[in-house]
Amino acid sequence: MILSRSKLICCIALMAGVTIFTACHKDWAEHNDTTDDALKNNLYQAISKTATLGKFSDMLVKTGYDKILSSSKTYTVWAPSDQALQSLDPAISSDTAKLKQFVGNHIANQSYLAGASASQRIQMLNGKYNIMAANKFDSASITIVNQYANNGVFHVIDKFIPRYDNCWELIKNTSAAPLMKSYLLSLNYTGFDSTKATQIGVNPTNGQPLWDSTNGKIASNVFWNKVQNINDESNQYTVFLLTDNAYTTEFNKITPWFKTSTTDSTTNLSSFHLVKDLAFKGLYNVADLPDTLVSQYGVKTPIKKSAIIASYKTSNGVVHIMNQADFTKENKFPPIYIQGELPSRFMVSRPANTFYRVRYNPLTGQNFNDIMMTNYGVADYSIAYFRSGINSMRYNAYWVALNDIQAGGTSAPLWQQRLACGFIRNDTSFRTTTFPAVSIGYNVYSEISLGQFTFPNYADQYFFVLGPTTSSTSGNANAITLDYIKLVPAF
Amino acid sequence: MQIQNKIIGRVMLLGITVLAGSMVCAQDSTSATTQTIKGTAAKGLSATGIIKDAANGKPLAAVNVSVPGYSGALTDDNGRFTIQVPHYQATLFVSSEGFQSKEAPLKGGKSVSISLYEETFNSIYDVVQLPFGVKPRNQVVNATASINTQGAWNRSAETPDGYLQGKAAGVLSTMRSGTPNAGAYMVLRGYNSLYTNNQPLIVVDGMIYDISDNGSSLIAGHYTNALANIDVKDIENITVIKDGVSTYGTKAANGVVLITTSHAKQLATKIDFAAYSGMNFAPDKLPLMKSADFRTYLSDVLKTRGWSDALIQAQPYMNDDPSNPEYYRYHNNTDWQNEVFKNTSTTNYYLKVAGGDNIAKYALSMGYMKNAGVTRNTDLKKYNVRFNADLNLSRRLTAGTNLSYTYYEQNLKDQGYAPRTNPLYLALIKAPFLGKREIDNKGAVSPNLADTDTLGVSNPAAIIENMIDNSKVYRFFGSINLKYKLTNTLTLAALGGITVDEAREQVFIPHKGVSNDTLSNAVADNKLGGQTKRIYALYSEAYIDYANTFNQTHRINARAGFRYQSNGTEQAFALGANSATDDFISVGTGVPSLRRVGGDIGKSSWINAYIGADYALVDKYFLSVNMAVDGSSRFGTQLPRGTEFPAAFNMSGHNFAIMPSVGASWLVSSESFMSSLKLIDLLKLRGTYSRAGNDDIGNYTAQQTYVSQNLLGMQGLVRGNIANPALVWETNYKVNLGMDLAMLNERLNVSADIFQNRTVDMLMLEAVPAPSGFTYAITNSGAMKTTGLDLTLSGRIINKRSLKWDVGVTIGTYKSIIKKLPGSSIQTSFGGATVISQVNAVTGIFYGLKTNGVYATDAEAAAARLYKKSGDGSIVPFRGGDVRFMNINGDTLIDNDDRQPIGNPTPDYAGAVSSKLTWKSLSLEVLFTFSHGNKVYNGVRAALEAQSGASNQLASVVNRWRAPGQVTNTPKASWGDPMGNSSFSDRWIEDGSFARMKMISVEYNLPMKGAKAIKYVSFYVTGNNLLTFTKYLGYDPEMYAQESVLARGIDVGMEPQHKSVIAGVRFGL
Repeated sequence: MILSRSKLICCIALMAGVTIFTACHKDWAEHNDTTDDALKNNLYQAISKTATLGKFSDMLVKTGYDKILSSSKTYTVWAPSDQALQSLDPAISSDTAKLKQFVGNHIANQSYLAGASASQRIQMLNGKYNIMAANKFDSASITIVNQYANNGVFHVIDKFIPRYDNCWELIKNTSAAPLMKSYLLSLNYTGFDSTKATQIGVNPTNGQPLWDSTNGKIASNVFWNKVQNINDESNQYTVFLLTDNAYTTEFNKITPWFKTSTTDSTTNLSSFHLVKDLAFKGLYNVADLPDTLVSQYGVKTPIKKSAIIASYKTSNGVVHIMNQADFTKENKFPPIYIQGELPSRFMVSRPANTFYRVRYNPLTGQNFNDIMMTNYGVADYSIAYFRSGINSMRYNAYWVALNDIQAGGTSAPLWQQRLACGFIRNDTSFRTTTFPAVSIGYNVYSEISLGQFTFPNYADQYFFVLGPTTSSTSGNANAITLDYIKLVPAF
Repeated sequence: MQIQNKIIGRVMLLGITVLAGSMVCAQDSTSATTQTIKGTAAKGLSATGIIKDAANGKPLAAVNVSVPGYSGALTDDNGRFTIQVPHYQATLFVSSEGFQSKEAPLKGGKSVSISLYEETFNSIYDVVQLPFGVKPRNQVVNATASINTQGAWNRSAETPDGYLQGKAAGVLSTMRSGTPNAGAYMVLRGYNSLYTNNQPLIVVDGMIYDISDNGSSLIAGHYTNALANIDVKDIENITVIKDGVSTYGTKAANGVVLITTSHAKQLATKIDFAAYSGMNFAPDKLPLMKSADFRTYLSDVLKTRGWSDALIQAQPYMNDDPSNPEYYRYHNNTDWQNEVFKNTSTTNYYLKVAGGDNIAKYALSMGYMKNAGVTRNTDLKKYNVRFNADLNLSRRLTAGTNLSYTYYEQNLKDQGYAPRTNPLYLALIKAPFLGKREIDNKGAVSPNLADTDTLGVSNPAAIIENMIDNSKVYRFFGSINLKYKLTNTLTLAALGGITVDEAREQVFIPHKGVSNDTLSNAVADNKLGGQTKRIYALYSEAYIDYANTFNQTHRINARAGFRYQSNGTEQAFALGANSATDDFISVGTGVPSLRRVGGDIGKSSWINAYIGADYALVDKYFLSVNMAVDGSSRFGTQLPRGTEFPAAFNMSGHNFAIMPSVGASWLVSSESFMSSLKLIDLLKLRGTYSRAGNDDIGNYTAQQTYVSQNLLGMQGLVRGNIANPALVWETNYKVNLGMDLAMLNERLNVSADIFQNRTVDMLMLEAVPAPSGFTYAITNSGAMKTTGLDLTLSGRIINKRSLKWDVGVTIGTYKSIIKKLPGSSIQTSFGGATVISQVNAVTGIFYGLKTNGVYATDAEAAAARLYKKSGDGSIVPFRGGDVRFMNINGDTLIDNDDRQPIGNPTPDYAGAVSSKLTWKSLSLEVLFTFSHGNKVYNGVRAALEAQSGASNQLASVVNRWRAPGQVTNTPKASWGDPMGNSSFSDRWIEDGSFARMKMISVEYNLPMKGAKAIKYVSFYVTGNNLLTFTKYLGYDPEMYAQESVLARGIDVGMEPQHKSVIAGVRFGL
């Protein structure tokens, strides 16, 4: 009996042991368990399980986007409802390439939550950008917001958003402004991008890399580089296309001021001068257009809303077709300012005598920078300023040259300086015009009229500020100052 | 030295004077008591009795029964005996080969019935090792726990501190980590100090054993555990004395652990050989995100960094085009934890030869251990040898030696907070889509390890394979003792010994595969380091001992002695960086301008003069009085104001501590009126009151020190501290009330103690005004009180001759409350956690924000009207997906003012359950340790759910908040965590309660009938840590990353404890 009792105790102990073993678990499962059913699906699964998104879900499968939306990156999908997709052009749904572009226009990388008050432009997987604001996606309204899955979110929208051309694509495809279009297309060239090229060796003579001949070649356009890159999806642009009439009118207006030795170059220069002020950064729909826009060349472009005969929404802005430009010559050819503190060349280097100053102009109420040279001790000394593309016209010349060091009289005499222009740097024989010497009055901050230049041809010019023809070593008799030179077209 | 000698002389003189005085006193009191007893004593009294085997009730023959110094007898074949007794209050002492020793009080009666258990039975009559010899536990006035290791043959890989875990109530041993040799941080009955040592004094064979880790390690998270130099198989007994230990003066505030190593017991040559081999099992992996989930997380978190979609898509890991040259490098699914952890093996050999003759006995042991950690490429090789001898030089003069030498070498890896080099941490945060090795554009894998990745994370495999963290340690610990018997009652004894310890470390962090470190003046590609730490300690002790018994009634044992210890430590390190290649790994090969050398020298000496007397009246009433006077080079030169003479005095400009103690116990069960209570075998009540101190106040803190300072290339000396000449030891008052009970014929033993330890003059870092040029001064301005309860239960549940089952329970609880601080509270930070210590509150409570889930929507967050002050000073509202922090101070900002106590890392109670089942030659031993109610800051999980960077995260992060309306408890991912969602809060405070099957062991003793050559063969199979029950979400709820009260319960990613199974065989020749 006693033995059996001890056996009983053994049994109990054994059972207790077994219970302990089986009870042994860690609480990780509980901690890690995905409590939210939505997080058990990926985006594709979540969309395919949503009743109103059957058509879009099929399109995802057809275009292969289902695989992407099942992958481990984060995406946002703006899924048009079945009802919204009823009006989709069969030409798109039947063409896989087009469909892929279309579906890709509704999917973006990263997760974007609806409801944020600020609107944001979001790049879609097809490369285009669409705008999401509060509960709008482009022109569509978001009807079901912020449906999350384990790799992103999706929103249901009540309209599909077609893939739009960008400004450049639209120009290529338009027939509204043949002259201007053909000029813009003529600016195409093949450029080189070293990030896309493959290096095939090193040039033994100069150590520069050698690139393969094909990969680095990229299509580019002078207009993109010099005016606005209207082929760039990431920014928004407003572009004006002139109808042939308007284009010709404006072209003829400005041709006289681009006289060169050949007709071609005059045409090219005039054309570029015309179109360079017709593209702007930023989106200006007709309703938002001001009466004047300032181009990146500082030219005021008059906008007449009544002259806009058509406007096209693009993926990166808007293109307006205009039948009248009406540039005024004063706006098209604004005065030229040459800043004294930005010289191109000194006749003789005199760094110890050269001062770049900041002074206050009581007339304008603003600070200005200028250059001052004193005691340089060279006869006919000059500071040269290079200016490219001076039009074939007359210019009235002015300058502001501040003398705040020599009050006049014998102990501190005023000095004289001259303005000249010419082709080549400092060679006196190439000076075409030299104005008479002007005495620089004490504390004179106003513009001083100097005379008129006449340029027969469109060309590059040097402008010189000259000291006296004789050198002096006494005091500040030979000094030069210059705030700026102003050239005002005199037409 | 001159001064020291003078002091020593004076103290000795004082000691001897006091001793002489006490002897006289003792004599007086004895004679007074003797008189009263004498009246009742009469010659020619006799008592009879019967002695039986407790297992089967059969009478035992030839058992020795005695009244020591008076009479003796043997039992006959029927187990009966008759013995002359001096009086009927006498106690009979019973002993027999193979059985327990026992005491049987007559309790005024004339006959007794005694039953004896086998020798290994855990009994109240077991002898306890005390500082001055052994005593049966029933006669001891102190709260003690005595552990007879029985060779600890089944615990071959343990260090003594780890072995002690769960063995004694009130000893809270917390394993530092799972690294071999790391051992445990031992706390005896809670804390007594905030800034000084809280571990008990270790005394090995009578000599103080220095366990402090002298200086920090170059290896992150590594602790050089001095106790690892003692092979647990060399230990015979460990006695934990929890109170009344004032004889060790200012070293005993945290209690004393006496370790006795084994000596030869018999003259015959005895050879024991044991060999073990086993497996360590890699820990369970933490569930991390796999490649796919991680990449989704990464794209989410990078978006919040302000990166554009194009920039994110341009990252190489976002490319899904297999023709892209980067594709194969970023499309793997690597389980980095596999690259760091591994199942490994352990081997252990041990040989012990003991024997001798009448004149000389010796015990020589040798051990070799190879134990690989579960981290790849880490291991431990340990060699130890011990020579213990006992010499009878003459009839009166005996001598003994205890000489040990240990050498061990460890290959380690960084642990804890080392984000660039801790392979375990790196394995958790490393992107799973990366590969361990270099992969070319076509997907072919190279044998070379991959370099630091594009996210700036080191390759854990490079750390494992190429980083060097090497530690070599040796310690010689040896002592010689002499005992001279002047007369039968007077003994002179002396002991002298030295400790020589050296730890050498070499560290090399390679360039390849490891992210660069930024030094103050350079970027370090690779880093080199070397360090040597030395301890040299001299210890000597001499005492005179007087023992006598008067009239079989009064037993007195008095002693006076003197101890001296001089301690020298030295630390020298050299650090370098940027050697030419990863093949140059010594400091000298680094760039000269980046080389840095430094070190530290510490010297201290300690003297201790003590007197004490133990008195026993009719083996029923016990009284123990002790006092020590301590001097130390660490103490200041002036007594603090208000210090009265009985506590301390100043002599010749040196402070001395006076540490008295008194203890008494009453064996209630030996009284006549208890004779009718057959149920109770023994009932003892005891109490002690003692004062002890803590001299761990810094070698030079009391003095003005200067430190070298480099200013723009000029070297100079500047003041290093504010001298505190009134600096004294911390004083600890201990009160202990206890009870020992044995009942049901010793089948059930209970021992319970309540205690209170009160620390005054507690060392504090007291803030000083800024114009002083220092931030703090070290002063004795704190106080602390620890109260608690210890309980030990042991019982024999089955008691058959061939089937025995013993179960034991130890449990202890304590509460350490700060009573005084220089300010109102102290906040300290370690490993990302902040703990607060406040007056009248428990030490080191976690102090952080409380949370209540996550805001589901912006509207919900807006309704809460709570804000966070960002780094640039702007006020930012909480949004949907942010953590809902609790605001307690009434303003609308969530900041440090909203912190509150969020958890106590101290367990409510901790202890162990042990069981031993023996059936014939087979025995099964199990030890469960447990800790309940302690909170742990899970710093590893905090890093793996912070969602603030490009680190891999736990699988739970899949549940993060993604969109408005989502109800979850995991906030959104946000780079840099601007809203402080991952700040120290109750999100990371977890219940660290656990119950662990620390050990399960099966032993089989092969019956060796007739075989002469081999005396015995035993087989062992031991499993360690096979089961752990815990709710803790980490590798291991048990860890101790830093030797500080304020670091308890902070998980910074130490190598976890692992499961292991070891099989062994032992045989004797």
